[in-house]
Amino acid sequence: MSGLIQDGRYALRQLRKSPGFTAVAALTLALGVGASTTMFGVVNVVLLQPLPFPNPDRLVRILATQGDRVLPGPSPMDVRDFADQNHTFEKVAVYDIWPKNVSTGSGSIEPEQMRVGLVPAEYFAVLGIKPLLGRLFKDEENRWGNQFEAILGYDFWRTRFHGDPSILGNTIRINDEPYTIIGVMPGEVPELFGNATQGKVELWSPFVPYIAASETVWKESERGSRGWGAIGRLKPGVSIQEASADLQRIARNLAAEYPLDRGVGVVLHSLREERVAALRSVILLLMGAVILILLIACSNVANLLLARNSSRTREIAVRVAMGAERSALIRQFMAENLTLGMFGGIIGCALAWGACALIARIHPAQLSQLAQVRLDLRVLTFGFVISVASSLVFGTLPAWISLRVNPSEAFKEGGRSNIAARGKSRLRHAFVAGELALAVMLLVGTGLLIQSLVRLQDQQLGFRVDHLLRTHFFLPSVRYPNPSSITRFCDEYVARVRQLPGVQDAVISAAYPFDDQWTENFTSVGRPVSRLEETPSAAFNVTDSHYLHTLGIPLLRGRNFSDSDTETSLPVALVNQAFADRYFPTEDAVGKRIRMGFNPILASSASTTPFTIIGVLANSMNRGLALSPLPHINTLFRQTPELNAGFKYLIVRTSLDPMQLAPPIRMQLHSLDADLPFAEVSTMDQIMRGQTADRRYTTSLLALFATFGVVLAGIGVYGVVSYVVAQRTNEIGLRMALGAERSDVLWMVIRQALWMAMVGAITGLAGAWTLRQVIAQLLFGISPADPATFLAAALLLIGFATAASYVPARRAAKVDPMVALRYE
Amino acid sequence: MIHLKNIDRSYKTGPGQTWVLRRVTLDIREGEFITVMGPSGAGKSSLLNVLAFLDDQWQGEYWLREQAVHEMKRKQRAELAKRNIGMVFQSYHLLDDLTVRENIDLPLSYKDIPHSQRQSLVADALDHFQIVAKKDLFPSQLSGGQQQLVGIARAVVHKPALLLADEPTGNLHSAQAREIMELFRTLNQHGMTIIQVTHAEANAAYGSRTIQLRDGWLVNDTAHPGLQPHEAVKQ
Repeated sequence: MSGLIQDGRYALRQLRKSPGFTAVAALTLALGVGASTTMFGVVNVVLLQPLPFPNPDRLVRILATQGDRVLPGPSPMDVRDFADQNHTFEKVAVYDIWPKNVSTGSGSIEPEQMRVGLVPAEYFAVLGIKPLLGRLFKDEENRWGNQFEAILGYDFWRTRFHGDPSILGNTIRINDEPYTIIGVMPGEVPELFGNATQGKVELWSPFVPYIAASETVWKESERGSRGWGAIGRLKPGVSIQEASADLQRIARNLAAEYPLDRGVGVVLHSLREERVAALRSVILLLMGAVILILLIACSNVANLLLARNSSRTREIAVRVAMGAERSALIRQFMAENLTLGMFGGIIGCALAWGACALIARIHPAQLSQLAQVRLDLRVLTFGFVISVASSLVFGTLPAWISLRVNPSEAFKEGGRSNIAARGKSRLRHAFVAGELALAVMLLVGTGLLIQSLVRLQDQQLGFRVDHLLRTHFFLPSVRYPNPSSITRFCDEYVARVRQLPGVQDAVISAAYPFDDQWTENFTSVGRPVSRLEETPSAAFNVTDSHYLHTLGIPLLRGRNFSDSDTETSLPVALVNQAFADRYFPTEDAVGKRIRMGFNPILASSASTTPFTIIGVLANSMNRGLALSPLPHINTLFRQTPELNAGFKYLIVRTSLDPMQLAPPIRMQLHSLDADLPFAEVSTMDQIMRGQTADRRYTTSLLALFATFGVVLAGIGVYGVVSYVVAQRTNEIGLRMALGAERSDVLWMVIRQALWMAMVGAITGLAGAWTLRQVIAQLLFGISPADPATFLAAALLLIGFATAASYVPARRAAKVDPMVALRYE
Repeated sequence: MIHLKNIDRSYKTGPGQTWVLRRVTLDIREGEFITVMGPSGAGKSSLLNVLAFLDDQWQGEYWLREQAVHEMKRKQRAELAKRNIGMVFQSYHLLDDLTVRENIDLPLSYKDIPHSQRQSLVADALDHFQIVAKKDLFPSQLSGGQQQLVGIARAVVHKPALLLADEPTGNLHSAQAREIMELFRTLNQHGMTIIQVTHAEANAAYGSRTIQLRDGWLVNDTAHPGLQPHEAVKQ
């Protein structure tokens, strides 16, 4: 024990003796440890933390499949049959999340649009959580007319009701209807249903999703209504594979029994996996990047140690002469390295603490989990472990090499072990070449991601993004009970907005490019399908006649909607080029007729009026930026009463800054209906930036890491070349005395750096090539083996290494032969 | 105590070999105070390095206290050296980062000795060499003579049977050199075998026996006045 204390004391003394070395080495390590610990903080929150529910491994999402496609979720009817007929689940629940107008106060306060979970009683039982206050929903409350009960989320309760414990029995208004508060849920119920940009669920009401009593979801005609959420809790000891086989058996039976279920399968995803799958590859890529930085930092410190240990040859020889065995010397060296590692670790963890706090504050909405990133005990332990591991990585080899001392040689004046010196020199060069190789890999990865981002942002969007304002409103059925009342309000609202100064045009639409998530089945008149599962589908939207002009979508063929297309005239539709290409590849789509929904004969449903296609639009990005456009149908809501719901967007084309027009538009909305929330106010530019925010964030992080890596590698080159120049001062003086020009010396030194850079670049390119599949799935429009990127990364690094060697090379070229030889 | 037989030591120099010790045969008894002399490059320090086990690339036979060093493995040699040998250097070779006390403790720290016993041995050495007041100073704060005093204290703190000194007064002025040599004489009188390498006749006078080396050959030994280099070759 006393030996260890003594080693520690000597180690501290050694580090204090060389404050410059200690500071550079500790800061270099701190950078590596800090970056790694920060990224582990992200991994910890996103990938490692279990879901905050009991036995979370038994929770699964239930999704429907059709062919190769995974649909959002099965119909409630199917979920009910799954729940009744399975042998592998404890409980199964269907649910949905809707934006609704929620009012907590008196009539004078504007309601807010919030995300409301529509859930049956089983939903919370599946998750295994109990209310903080009050009770869960009862089965009978999941029926029309009994659904006016609400359970508040913890944050909603705390912020709007100040955590009032006597809140139960109070009333809030949801879509203008009174709901009695029957419970408060604890804070750990997370967002489980997809879209993080729309915010979390603030409260829940019973699962009564339809707006009119006559339109219940629990009827056979709704068996094809997919897109709901469904979750289940497996029985203990049941695997996902067993449960999946169980539900697939039921799905096959349902397909045999119900035409609407033909061709529809089921698949289970672990709930935890569902939450992390999309982020795993990018986070592991970034984690890999910081580990490369850590290795580069370790190589740098190893090189510093090799240089410093060179001056300790005599000390080692004395210790050997005093009886020190190799193990004792290694212990001493490792104590020094561990102490250095601890310094680096402490500074690194402090940096990580700041970086975690920064990430928790600043992150894209799509990566909302990052708000929880912090330096907890597990992350700190990781920081400690990698500090110790780094000490072993950077310290072991230099210590081993440095101990190859011949004491009898070392005691001679000026004596030097040539074998050890040569070994150290080779090792130093190998370390730097290794650093450069790692830096090239970082550069290649960063180059590929930057080009992906640029290509993604340079996509032809198919509409004009600039000077557009988007807002959302919801017309509750209490005051807008039928399609005609909805149409009347929309027409009046948009007409008023079009009159505002600065407004060029405006449209009311159920969807818009980037957010076209509404899919409908349809049939082409004259082209009957014999099997229900072959019924075609397309993205769908109901809008008004100003859609194309407001959004700037080009009309390719036919005509636009016009004011003469009224409720009583022939229903008309506009389709996009992708629709025409897929469904009418050899004919002109204009003039063709389509009928929304399934074939009434096959699906036992009522026939609908056919729509005549009057025009073909240019494609616009209706599935986000990274995916090719889907076939798309637009109809007029005034001509589509059965699909004219109260959810609508107002999109305004302005000649001014769009946000300047938000207040007057809000006034217009409230002059028509003061109880409607003016919600989701955003410019289209902001929405567009949101589409790539997560990619920009991760690309920026990788670029930052690559910069760290390249700078550290450059410092490594500089350090080694400087050291070599210092060692070779006499030789350089002699060469110059014998006639070498300054340019000869300059080139001699730079050539050495160039060699290291070229070896590093070739090794790094080989590494990047080997690992290209790791990044492939994160790329858009560029090959993971893009030769130009590889070449650019190699050239950039060689150039940087050359530049880093230039300063010591100039120093070498300025050696005065007389001075150098005087010390010989 | 020591028996060397036909000790050879050479270095590879390009295609050839440079011999620094040639067939050195030597017997040293317990309690002797031997001076090794000879011109630069004669092999004096090389012989001392062999005797101190700092060099193990030699050929021949080396017996220390009846133990065949030439048959030992490296670890066994290190163990034998730790128990029996102390070493004093011309340039003192104190570790700059350690205090006087810690420098003296250094050889003990590499032995399996309890901490309290080590402290006691170091305290005895400090007292014996009258450097208690300097115990917390660093080498850079001492004069050359004081540093060599610490070097000797370090060499003898573990009470070795054999003390090897390579030009111990080479960096000292004459008064300091005399003090050091008196110290050696005292240690020798207490039974310690001492082998010193020196150029100085005055230092050699403190010894009981002088051997001369030239070009690696043992050419003269006051204990064997008739020894001739060519006879050594014949041997």
